[in-house]
Amino acid sequence: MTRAQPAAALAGGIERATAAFELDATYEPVQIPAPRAAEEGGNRYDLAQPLGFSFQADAVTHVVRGSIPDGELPEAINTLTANPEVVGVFSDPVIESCICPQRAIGTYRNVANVLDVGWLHRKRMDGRNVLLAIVDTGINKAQLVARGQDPQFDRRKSWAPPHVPKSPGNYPVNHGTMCAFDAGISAPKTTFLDYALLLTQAHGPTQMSGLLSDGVAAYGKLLRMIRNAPVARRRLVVSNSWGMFSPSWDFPVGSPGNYSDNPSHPFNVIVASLEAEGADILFAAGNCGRECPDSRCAFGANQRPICGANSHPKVLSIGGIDYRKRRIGYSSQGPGRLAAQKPDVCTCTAFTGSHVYPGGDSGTSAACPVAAGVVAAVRSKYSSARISPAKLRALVHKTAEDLGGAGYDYDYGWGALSPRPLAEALAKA
Amino acid sequence: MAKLLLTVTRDPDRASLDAVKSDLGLDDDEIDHDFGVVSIDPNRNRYAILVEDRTAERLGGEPGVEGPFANPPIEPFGPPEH
Repeated sequence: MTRAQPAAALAGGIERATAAFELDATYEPVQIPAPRAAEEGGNRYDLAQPLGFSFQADAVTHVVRGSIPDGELPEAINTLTANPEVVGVFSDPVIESCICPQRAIGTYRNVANVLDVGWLHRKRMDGRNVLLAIVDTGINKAQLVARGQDPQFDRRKSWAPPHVPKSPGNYPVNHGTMCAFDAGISAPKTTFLDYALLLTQAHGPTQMSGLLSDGVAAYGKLLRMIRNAPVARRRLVVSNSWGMFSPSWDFPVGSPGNYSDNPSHPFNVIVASLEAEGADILFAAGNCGRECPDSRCAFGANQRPICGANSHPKVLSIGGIDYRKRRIGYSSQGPGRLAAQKPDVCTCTAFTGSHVYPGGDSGTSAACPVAAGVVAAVRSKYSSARISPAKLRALVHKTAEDLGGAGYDYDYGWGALSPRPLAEALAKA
Repeated sequence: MAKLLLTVTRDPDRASLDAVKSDLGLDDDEIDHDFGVVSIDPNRNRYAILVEDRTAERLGGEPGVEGPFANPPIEPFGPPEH
C-alpha cells in the first residue's frame, strides 16, 4: 500500500527498491480513502465506530499487487516496510466461491489424473490385499464391468440385513454401485465386501434407507471379521456415504440416548471399536452445505450438520470438491459435533463415471468412496499393524493440499486429499 | 411400534440371546431376534440389543443396562436433491 501519486510510477519505484518484489503490471493501482476516527486521537481502524473517510490526495493510499518468492518473504517484507512510501505489506489469499453444479464437471478420468492414480498403480498401490466394505445399497457387478472395471468380491464376508436376500454384487443398479465404481478409480484390485445396509426400506422414509440399528448390526459383523483375522494381515477400509438429514430423527441433544452428539451411543462406540482393531473408516461429510444444500436437509442455520459417526474423531470425514479443486456448495461444513475439525479433507465429486445417475456421480456420497479407494490403494503396502488407522489419518491431514484459508478450515478441512504425497509420507513413516 | 437400542454389560459367556432374555426377563416379542446381541466394545464386554420402545423405557434403569438410545433413519448422501 503506497501513499503517493501517481501510483503506477510509485509502484515501479517499489519494485526497484527490492528485487524480490515482482510487480503485477496488469493490476491497476486502487485508491483507498483514509479512514478517520470518530474522536480525536481514536483508532481509525476500529470498525466498531462510525467512521468517516478522507479522499484528500495527501491522505489516500493506493494498493498495488505483486509477488514475492516464499523463500525471500521475510527479508523482502523488511525491505519494503522500511520504505517510507510503503504503508504495509498484506497477504492476498486465494478467494474462490464454491460452485453449485447442476451437472457433472469432467469425468472419472479427470479424477484419476488429479489423484495421480497411474503413479500409485505403478507402485503397486491399487487395493490388492485390501478388503473394502461398501456399506450402502448393494452393488451391481455387471454395471461395473460394463463401465470397464473388473471388481472382485468376497461373497462370504459380505452382509445384508435380515429379510433382505444376500446377493453380493447382484443388487439393482443404485447408489451403492456408484460408490463401488468411484472406489475402484484408485483401487481396481481391491476386494469388495458388499454391505447392503440401506435396503431395509420397510423402516425408512424413502426407498433407499435404513435404521441406525442396521448399521450397528453391519458393524458387528465387520468387528467379528477383523478380530478373526491375524493382526499382521489386517487391511480393511470401510466406506459410508450415508447419514441423517434431519436432527428431528434423533433424540434431543443432551438426552443420554442421543446419537448426533453422543460418543456413548452404541453406533459411535462400535465405530471406535472397529477402528481400534485396525479398520480405516470413512464417512461422507453430508450434503447440507450452506450455499446449496440438499432440499432434504433440515438442519437450521446454527445446527451443525456433520453429526454422529460422520463427525467421529476416529474416522475420516470427506467433503466434496470438483476435479478443479473448487468446493461444491452442498458439501457440509464444520465444525463437526463429536469432533470439531470436520470435514477432515475433501476430494472429487460431480463427475461422470458409473453411469448410475443421469447427472453423474455426485454428492459427498461420491467423494467418500473416491477417498476410500485412495486409502485402500495405499493400504495395499501397509497392514494396520504397521501403519495404524490413526497414523494414516494424521498423514492424510499432513499431506493434503491446503485449500481455502491457510491451514485447517471448516470448508475444506485440511484441503484436497493428495495420494502421491500421502504414499511418499507413508514410505518414510 | 418403534424399536430402540439398549446396551448391556456382561461376561461373554452370558451374551447369548437366550441368556440376555432370561437375565432381563424379556418375552419373545420384546426383543429383536434378527438383530440379536451385538458386541460393540469387546474390551469392555459391552453389547447392543434392539427392543420395543416400551421395553426400552422399562429396562433403562436396570443395573448393567444403558439406554434407550436413538435409532434414527439413515439415508444415502447422493445425488443431492434441489
